Amino acid sequence: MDSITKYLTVGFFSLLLFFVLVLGTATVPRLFQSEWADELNWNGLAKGKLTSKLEARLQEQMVFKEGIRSLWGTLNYWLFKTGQSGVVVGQEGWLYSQEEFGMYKPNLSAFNDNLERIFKYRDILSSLDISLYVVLIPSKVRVVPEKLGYHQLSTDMLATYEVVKQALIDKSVFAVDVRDVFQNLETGRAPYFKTDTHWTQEGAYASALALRNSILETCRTLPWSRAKFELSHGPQMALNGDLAKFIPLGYFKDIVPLEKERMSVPIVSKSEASTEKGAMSLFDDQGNEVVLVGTSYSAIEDWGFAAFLTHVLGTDVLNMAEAGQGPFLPAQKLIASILDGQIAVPKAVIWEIPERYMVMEQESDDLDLVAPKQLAGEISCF
Amino acid sequence: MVFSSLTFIAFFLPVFLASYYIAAPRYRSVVILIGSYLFYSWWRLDFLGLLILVTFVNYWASRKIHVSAETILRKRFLIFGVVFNLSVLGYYKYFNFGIDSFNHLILSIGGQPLLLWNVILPIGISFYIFQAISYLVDVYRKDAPPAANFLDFAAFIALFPQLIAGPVLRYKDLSDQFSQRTHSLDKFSEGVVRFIIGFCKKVVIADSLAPIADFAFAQTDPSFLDAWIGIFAYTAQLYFDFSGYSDMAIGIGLMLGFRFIENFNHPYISRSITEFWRRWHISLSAWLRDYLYIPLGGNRRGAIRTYINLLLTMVFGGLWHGANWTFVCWGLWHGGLLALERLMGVKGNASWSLRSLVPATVTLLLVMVGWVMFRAENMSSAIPFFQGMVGFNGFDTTGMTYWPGATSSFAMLFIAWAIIFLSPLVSRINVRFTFFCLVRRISWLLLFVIAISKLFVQSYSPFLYFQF
Repeated sequence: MDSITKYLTVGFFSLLLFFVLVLGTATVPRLFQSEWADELNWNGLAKGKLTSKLEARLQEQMVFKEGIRSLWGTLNYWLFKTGQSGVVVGQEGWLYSQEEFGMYKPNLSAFNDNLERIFKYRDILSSLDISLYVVLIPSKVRVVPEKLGYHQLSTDMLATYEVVKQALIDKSVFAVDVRDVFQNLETGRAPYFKTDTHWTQEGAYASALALRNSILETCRTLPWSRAKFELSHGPQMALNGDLAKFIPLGYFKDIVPLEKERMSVPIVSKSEASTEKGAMSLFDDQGNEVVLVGTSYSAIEDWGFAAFLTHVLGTDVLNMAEAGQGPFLPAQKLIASILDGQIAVPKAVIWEIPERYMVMEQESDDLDLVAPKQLAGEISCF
Repeated sequence: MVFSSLTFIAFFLPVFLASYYIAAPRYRSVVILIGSYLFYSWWRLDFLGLLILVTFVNYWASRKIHVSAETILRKRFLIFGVVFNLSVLGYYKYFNFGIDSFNHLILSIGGQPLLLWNVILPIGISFYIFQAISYLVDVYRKDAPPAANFLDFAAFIALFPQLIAGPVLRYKDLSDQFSQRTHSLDKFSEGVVRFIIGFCKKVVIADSLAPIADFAFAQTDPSFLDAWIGIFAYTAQLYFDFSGYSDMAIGIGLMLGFRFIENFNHPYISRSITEFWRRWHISLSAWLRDYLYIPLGGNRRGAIRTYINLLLTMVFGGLWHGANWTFVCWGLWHGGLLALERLMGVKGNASWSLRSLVPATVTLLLVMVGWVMFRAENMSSAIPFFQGMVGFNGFDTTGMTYWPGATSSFAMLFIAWAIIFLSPLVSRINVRFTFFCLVRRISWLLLFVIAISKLFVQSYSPFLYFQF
């Protein structure tokens, strides 16, 4: 029995190594990339750049990797209700972005810096007679907490939205609280998708409406030229939720399925006849009077936030939001473009900010942005 | 290249082992040397030059020590060799630290900081320099004959299983094995099992605990539970990561016919810090004892001097781990505890009983406190962690429930600690080779397959001691 064990050990080990060697060799043709030509020199070899690229490429391209990855992904999801780093798995198929949970305590230094950024940008826009309207988007974790299961936000993180909102209002920044409109959506209309970080079209529309109502409540009128825009919906299509990518089910997606969600993309078009007071005539050319800036919540046209804003605000909203940059960098770029004269000075800027970014450190370098003239920072309707 | 990588498992190891066993016995040192140099230069080819230079200088110095008849001359060559080795280590490891600390001081008094070049730390330098120093000292003391030829010595210094993360080997323990060692099915099989155990410790356990530890230490103000869960995770992660690597190194050594010294012996059941250092990183603590503590005078120059020697040895040991004030504090912590135990007459030799539970628990807590400093990026991030551990940041129990991969990671944390506490008992059970042994062996082999499959899906995960 002793000999059997030893022969089995050595034999199995040798066969396994040989098998992995065969897989590795089969992967070799996929390893080299033409853009590595620069590293095929003494410098690339001496400093290990070529070998580190080879290792990374081998890790990506290894034969059978996708099959094994989907096996592990399926087992982790099925047995432990976990996905890869980046997603938190709730109940009944609800997925949440790990970013929304943040820290146990919010990063106060980042929070203060980000608030200062907002105030600075508001001041710059005010000095150009541009109204700033901030739409503070609550985290999915906050809006749909009942599906979190045993996951929870810490007490300090739970307070973030209210603290941010109050800090903005205290400094006379026009901030729209959309928590209530999200909670009060009709049954069957969820503000967030199950398998995506972002809001649904219902959530986006409710936010656009809440913004319009807030402006009307404060300013009694919408301070830009208005026209009539018709809203329609495109055909239903499948949603590829961004959070679903963190649960690599691969070949097993039919055995342990994730929720298959559908959506239809809103389409906005200008009415031929417009009876709105102050409507633009055919020969008016004032550029976009309202500009939208923010994150992927606005940049991704599928959610329809820009289209909904155009419809409810009655003006063609220029969408300058960018995905993957956070809310501050696109806002910085917008202001720089306005100051440089690259885009016409709008009447209003709508800035969509997801709350989780308020307690995250940003890479924005906005030291060069300076207000042309000093103005009092009051809520301005014009 | 690290052992827990596809490059190593899929290419290097099978090709190397095949080449080794195909080669005639008289050429096997050459195969080891070429393979080791290839292993090292996979990281950076330019630093292979430094390794070769250190090898040449130490070989030359050892020959000079050996052939010199006069003691004074032998001592001069020894001093030359040691100073050369420490200079290399000092420059590559501590230059940036020294300049940063100096600049910090200068800035605090309003001066202009020095702007100098950044020195890259060559991997494994702490290990191969220490091995070289021990070789020179052993030749000087005539504890070991010098290497019979340059090839054997170069192969010893570069021996890839232990090159980048130990154990810290001594030539006198391996010199016979270089000239004559056995290769047998027994040894190879033992090596395979050892390698698999280490591989699974690293890939299955340590890498699963890393997210918990990383998350806890990333918190700016961790709560009580965050801090304790984090330190429990890190304590286990460090053990399984490092002992796993040592197991793999020992396993590969056995496959090549070498028998290395053991590096870990269930350290977390230690009943004193004195005992801990006989069970944790045994090769390093033995090196520090033989080449630093004893030359400083050990315990032969009175109590006060003993305590000082203990402190100095451990501070140097801390600095060996890294160029950071956290490691100095960690060394002071352990040195201070060792001195205190010496004062209290703690020997750490008694056999284990139920009464050992209390001192073992206290020792484990003291070790964990040390690991906070060891893990922290700097002392200013260690302090909030300590504050969390004593509850200054609150006791909010919700702090733990959004941790990444919570269920599987916490399951692994539980398993890890069960292994830590139960394996000393299991290792005492002398099981004769029966059907149970076969089943156990098959289980290890299947676990190895699972661990390799994990390699396919995880990103690059170096060993924690890689950075030293």
